[in-house]
Amino acid sequence: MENTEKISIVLALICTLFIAAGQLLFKIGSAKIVDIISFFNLFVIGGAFCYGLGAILFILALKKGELSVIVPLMALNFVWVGILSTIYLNETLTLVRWTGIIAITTGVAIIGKGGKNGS
Amino acid sequence: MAASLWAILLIIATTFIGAFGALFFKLGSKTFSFHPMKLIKNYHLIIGFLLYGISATLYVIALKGGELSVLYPIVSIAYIWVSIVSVKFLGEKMNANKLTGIAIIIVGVSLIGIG
Repeated sequence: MENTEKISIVLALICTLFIAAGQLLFKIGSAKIVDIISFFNLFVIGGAFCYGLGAILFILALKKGELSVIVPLMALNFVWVGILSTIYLNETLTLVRWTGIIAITTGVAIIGKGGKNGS
Repeated sequence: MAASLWAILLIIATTFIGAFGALFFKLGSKTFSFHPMKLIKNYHLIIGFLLYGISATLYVIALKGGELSVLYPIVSIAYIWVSIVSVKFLGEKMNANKLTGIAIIIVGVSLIGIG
């Protein structure tokens, strides 16, 4: 952990926020799709833009951050999307669903950590 | 139902395609160069982009069929595909960490499906 600078962790966290926001925009945009042209609506494009920004932040985070630290942080995407869905999409998250999200977050984090040691 | 079956199956398919996109990106990273002439000839990279593009397009369409808080977690299956693909095609090693992570992800996705 000593080799990962704080700035990298901050960049990674901001990255996850952008990717989660992108997912939200994708979801809103998907409802507007009825044909090929409507596929490229403002929300879908906005979502892609957020995703692209997230990808750039991810690459920047990896500059001074170790893979086995930065990649597991991406697991937080699943938590943010859960929260954003309840706030902006009026979705209901049951306790079972939240447990599933936490499990997935944990699993992804473990895989991310294990990658460096294994390969 | 919080998500239609077709949307769930489509997302599983997109994660599968996306994992191969990642594979081709990895293969393309070996000879990667910003040089335009080299970039055009980096077929692995180009195929990777195409696969990612296809999977992203299918993903957005799949979102029409269910709640985001149900469909997005399924994307985590991509990590399982990538683990399998990297062991099979890149000679990377499976280890206890990856297997444990995969198992927990499967548990998590199942809970999402039930909940």
